[in-house]
Parts: sequence; structure tokens; C-alpha cells
Amino acid sequence: MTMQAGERRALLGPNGSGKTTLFNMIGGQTKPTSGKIFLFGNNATDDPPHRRAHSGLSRTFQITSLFPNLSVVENIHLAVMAPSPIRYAPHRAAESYPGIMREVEELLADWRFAGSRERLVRDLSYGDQRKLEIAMALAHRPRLLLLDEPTAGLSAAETSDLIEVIKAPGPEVSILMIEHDVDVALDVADRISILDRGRIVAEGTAIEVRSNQAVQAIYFGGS
Amino acid sequence: MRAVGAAIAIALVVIAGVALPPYYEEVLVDGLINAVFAVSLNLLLGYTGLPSLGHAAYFASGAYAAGLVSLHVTHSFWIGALSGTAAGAILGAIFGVVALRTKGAYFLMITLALGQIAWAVAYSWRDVTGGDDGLRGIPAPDIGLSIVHLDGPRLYFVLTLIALVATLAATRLLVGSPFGRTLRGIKDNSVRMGALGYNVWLHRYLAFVMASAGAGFAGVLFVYHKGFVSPDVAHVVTSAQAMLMVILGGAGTLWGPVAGAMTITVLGNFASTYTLHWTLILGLLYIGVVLIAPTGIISVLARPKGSR
Amino acid sequence: MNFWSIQLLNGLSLAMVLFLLSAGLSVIFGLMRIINLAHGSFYLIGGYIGLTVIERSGSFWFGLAIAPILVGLLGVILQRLLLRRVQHDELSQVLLSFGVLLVCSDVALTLWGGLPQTLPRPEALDGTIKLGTIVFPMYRMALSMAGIAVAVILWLLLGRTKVGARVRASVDDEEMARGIGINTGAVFAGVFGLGAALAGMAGVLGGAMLGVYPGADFDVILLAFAVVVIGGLGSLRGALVGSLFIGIANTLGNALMPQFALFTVFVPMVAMLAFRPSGFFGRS
Repeated sequence: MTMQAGERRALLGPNGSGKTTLFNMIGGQTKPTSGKIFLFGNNATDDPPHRRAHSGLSRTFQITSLFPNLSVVENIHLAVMAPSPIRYAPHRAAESYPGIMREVEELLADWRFAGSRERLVRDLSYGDQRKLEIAMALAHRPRLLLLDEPTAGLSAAETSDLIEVIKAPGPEVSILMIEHDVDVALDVADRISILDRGRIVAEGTAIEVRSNQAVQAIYFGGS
Repeated sequence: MRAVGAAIAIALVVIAGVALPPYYEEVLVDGLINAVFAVSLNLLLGYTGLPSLGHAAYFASGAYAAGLVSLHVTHSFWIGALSGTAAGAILGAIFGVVALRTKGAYFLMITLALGQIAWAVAYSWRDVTGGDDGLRGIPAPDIGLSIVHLDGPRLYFVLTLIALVATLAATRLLVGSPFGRTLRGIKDNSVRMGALGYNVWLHRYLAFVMASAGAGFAGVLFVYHKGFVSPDVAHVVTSAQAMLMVILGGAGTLWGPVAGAMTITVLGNFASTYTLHWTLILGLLYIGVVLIAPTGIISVLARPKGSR
Repeated sequence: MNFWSIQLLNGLSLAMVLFLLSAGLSVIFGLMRIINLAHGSFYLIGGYIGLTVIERSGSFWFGLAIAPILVGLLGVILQRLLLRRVQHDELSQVLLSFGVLLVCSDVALTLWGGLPQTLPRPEALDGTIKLGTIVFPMYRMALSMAGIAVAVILWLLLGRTKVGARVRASVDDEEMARGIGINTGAVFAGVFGLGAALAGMAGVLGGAMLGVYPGADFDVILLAFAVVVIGGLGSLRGALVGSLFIGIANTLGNALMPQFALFTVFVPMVAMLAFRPSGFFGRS
């Protein structure tokens, strides 16, 4: 599977087809048993997750993965510090880096978390947690963003809010999104890949994919 | 508020040290040394989320190193302290590579086994460590001020108090620094940290080495205080007790390990005077802390309002 | 040739004691993910109870029968009362079971005193047997055979009975097992009790060979963990292999280079944890 810079791709497929596993391989959380991963032209197959993050990869997880016992501002702070070498500094207070703190304040304001900055993440509503996770994923201006079922469990209103958020970044960010909600996928994505039992069985624009025989078989039975 | 509490605590300790007869001072010094040891373990256990059951190995290496330096090279406190702290750090650097290949229960067991290896080395290597007799007759250290000589318990008390305060100050700085924030993030969700771009292994390793250095430093204070050291200092019993001190006081808090260490030390000394059953009481304490106050006394006393 | 045969038999008999001790520990860890440092206490108390029963009744076999039952009961009480509350927190389990270890150690010291004692062997086995040119103590031979017998019984129990199937199901997937109606609470308590009983038996059998003394609980728990780590958690076969390994290595170590005997146990343990944490036969 190949993606172009600036593309918005949706990854669809029935349960168990391997979508999250694919994400884990791209992200580096799992090692593939065969094949290679290339990120931004470089072979990243043996790179640990943190090195891929530094080359411009960012992701969210199917089950919200934040720092539940830390506050919202502390969560964002960690996301903002991640690309900076100061993350190893043992001798100065973390709040004493004005550039970092300014970025944290900006993010808090942009994503409308300023009011709940001191709340522990585990006390946030599910929708807010999902939003925060995306905020943190975008914090260090990634080149490729992986979103694993970002709208899962959200109400209709929260979903349309989130779609605006996902559509907001410009072409400097490529987005690969796993979605179960086909309407969301079609709204956001230029192209769609369909995964079934670990293989890409169809790829193309929405219309192309809809009329694909194999896809119909997967979703409506008969294979 | 916190600063006031800390000042009061230090003042109380100082008063106790000055006013009480020498025997009690000895107990206080024991407590202060245990506090330094517990604070170093807290960095691993409370802040990074690495439960080490073999932390006494680094305490012991610091004690033996300083003891050997003092017996064979120089009486200078500074050289001895440097050697001991370095010994702890070096052993931590070596053992850390192996130990950090594991997580959770396996990490507990591997640190336990590594600690027992250190104990076995101390026990077997008669030529260097004196075997199960240990090192004896280690002289009082010389801090290089001709007026001041540390063979008085009062002066040693001041030294260990300063050492503890310095250790706490360093820990506070570290915990509030970007590095310290990273450790807290790793404890809460290490997968997320990796995905954000943090080299989780490296941060853990650095924390491991720092904590081992701290334990080595505590070992230095110990050996100069007692004048001798034996292999038991490296045994899992010592490691487990340090863990109890941290948990009893409150893991992940600055003062928790200090409170836990002082409590256990004072209690242990007191109990040993009146009963033969300190082991039983200690055992019940372990059980009690886990079932009743797993977050420790400090967090029970200082009810947090909101986050941290 | 004599030397090696004797060491091998000594190693084998130690291995059998270790197997009884660690079979339970391995399944308990594999099943309930519980680290129980007090497992050594089961050995100690089993040995001491056995000692008292043998002294009062004059019969080794009576002691061998009673001690495991009482220790097994103690195990069940410990699990249901205390360990169950810290089911998923390894650190708490370590601290809690360490506390139990200390309490038991103190109680044992109070009740039985501080002198090392050896359990008297049954008269029937208190001699030597001659195989070719080599003379073996009968007790050790009988112990080795008994150990193998227990291993076979356990293997049959676990692999060929319905009860065993329930245990294996609970080890494999606790939630699923509960979902299909297996009373995992009872399974856990039962396995824990059986493991404790076996450790108590090890205390009697080992106590007649190595003696019981304050501190035996500690020595023995460290060996048992080494066995379980090397053999693999949750595996009976692993417990047997691990016991043979540690039993023979430790015996040879003590015979050939007593200074470094301790390393024969801990270095393999560290190596295994660092490179293959699931042990030889374990499930990760």
C-alpha cells in the first residue's frame, strides 16, 4: 500500500481484517513477520516507535491512550516537549522554557481546553479525551497522522465536531484513517483502501470502490 | 504550605538530634541514612514505575567501595563518597542493561536475582569483601576541615542531615525538570510516550543509573556511620524493607520515603528493645500497608485537592 | 565414577524436593499471576508440623500425611483472605506475601525454636542400598522415585481429568473460563491449596534430608523462583525440568566449588529472564 504526500486515505474492512495490526506495524508497536515499512522514502522497518515519531509520524489508538493520572496541561506539555532535546534536561524546572510553555498555552486555547487545564484526564468525558488525543497527535506538526477509529463511541454532534477537526490541517499533513463509519470515511477521504483478512482487496476513489465486486462480496456476503 | 511543612520537619529533626541522648541520635542517623536510600528507590519505583526488588545491591556496592577506599587508600570523606556513589552507578549501569529487558513481575524477579548475585559476590569474595565477616574497623571519615572531626556522633548527625536535605533538593529539581516529567509520563503510559517520540528505554535506563548512584551514596553514609559492612546489606530483605519504607510513606511523593524510613527505623529500634518479635510486627506492617494504606501515610495526611 | 553417581543422586533427590515445591508455585503464578513469596513458609511450616507429628506419633508416614493437609488449608485461607484482594497488582502481592513470610517465620521460631532440626526418617528407608559397586542412601532413592510418581500423578490429574481441564481452561483464559461457567474462584483456591500442600510435603520429605531451620523459608523460596523462571511459568513439565536443572547444578556447585554454589542458581535465572522470560516451557 502506498500513500502520496497530502493524501487523505480511509482504511475500511470488516472486524478482524487487520486494520489496527497494520497501524501497529506502521507505528512500530508491532514487528511485521515479512515485508517492509517505508516512511517518507526511508526504510523504517527496524525503527522503534520514537524514531518514527521524530521523522514525522503521529498516531492515535483504538482505545484512547493518554496519561490518565496527569492533568490536561501536563498531557499537552508532554506532547509538546517530545520533539525537543530539552526532554533530557534534569536541572531546570520544566516550566522554565518559555518557547515550550507558549506552545502549550496556544494548544490549550486552540483546542478549547483552557477551562479544564487542571482536570485529570481520567475525569474528562470520553469525547473530550478523544479530542485531546488528536490534539496531542497534531502537537508536533507531523507529516503523517494515523487515526484509529477516531469517532468510535461519539455522539452525532461530537462526530461532526471531530470531522471538522480532522479536515482542518492543510496538505502538509497526510492522514490515514481507520473508520467503521463509512459516511465519515467518505466525507474525509480522497481515496479508500479495503482490507480483508490481512490483504488489500480494493483501492481507489469512493465510487470505484463501491462498485467493486470483491468489496460487495465482503460486506454483503457471498464470498 | 509545603515549604513550611518541610521546614518544620527539618527543625524537629535538628532539635531531636541536639536534645536527645546519644543512643537516640544513633537511631536518628540510621533513619536519615535509610531515608536517603528510600528516596533513591522512590525515583525508580514511585516516579518511573519500575518496582526494583534488588535495590540493596547498589547500596551495598557503595558501602563496600567506600569501606575499601577508607581502609586502603584514604580517609577523605569526599573521595570515599565519590567512590561509593560511582560504584553504585556503575553496578546500576551494568545490571540495568539486563534488568530493563523485562517489565512488571519479571522485572521484580530479575532485580531480585541480580540483588542476590550481588549478595553472593559479597559473601564469596573473601579476599576483597571479607566474606561473611565483612569489612571491619572502617575509620571515621575526614571531611577535610581540620577543626571538624567526624568521630563525634553529633557531627555525623549533622552530616547525614545535610546529605538528606541535599538528596531531597536534587530529587525535587529532577522531578520538576523535563526529564522528571518524562519519567512520570512513562510510568503512566509508556506506549503513548514511545508513540510521541520519547526513547522510553533510555529514560528508564538513566533513571535506573541515577537511582543506583543515590543508593550507593546512602551506602557510603552507612559504612562511615557503622564502621563496618557485611553481605546482609545486599540481601533481598534490605531491598524489601526499602520498598516498604517507600510504599508506607507514599510512593511518588517527595517526603513519603523520608516519613516511611524514619517510621520503620524508629519503630524497629523501639520494638527491638521491648520485644523479640520485631519480625512479626514488621510482617504485619507489610500486610497492613498493602491492605489499608497502599498510597502511603503522606498522601493520607495531605489530602490532595484536585490534581497534584 | 562413584563421586559422580553420588552427586547425581543427591542432585536428583534435591530436584525432587524442589519439584514438589515449585510445581505448585509455577501453576499458581501461571494461573493467577500471583507472586507468592510466602510459598517458602509452606515448606518451613510443613517441615515443622511434620516434625511435631512424627515426634508425637512415632510415625513418619503419619507426619507425611498430616502436614500437607494442614499446610494446604493454610494456603487456602491465605489465598481467600489476603491474596485475592491484590489479584492484579504484582507489587502489592510481593509486599503482602513477604509480610506473610515474616509473620510465619516469627511464629515458627517461637513455636519450634532456633536450632536446626532434622526430621527422623522412617525405619524402612533408613539404610543404604547397593547398586553394583556404589552404595546409595535408601531414603534418597525412595525420594527420587516418589518425586517422579508425584509428577506423573499431577500430569495425569491436569491433563486427563475434568478437574484438570477446568484448571487448564482457567490458566488459558480466566474470563472465558468464567464465561462458560467454570467457578474460577474455587479453581484458584483449590490450586493454591494443592500447591501449598505439595510445598508442605516437600517440607517433610526435604526436612528429613536437609533439615528444617529458621531461614529455610527464605533459602527455599529463592531456589523455587529460580526453578520456576528457568522451567517456565504455568508449566508442570517446566517445573520438572527446572528442578532437575537447579537441583543438579546446585549440588554439583556445592561439591565442586562451594564458594560459587550460589551463582549456579542466580546466574541462569538472570540469563533466562533477560533472554527468554517465558522459560523453557512457559507461557508468556
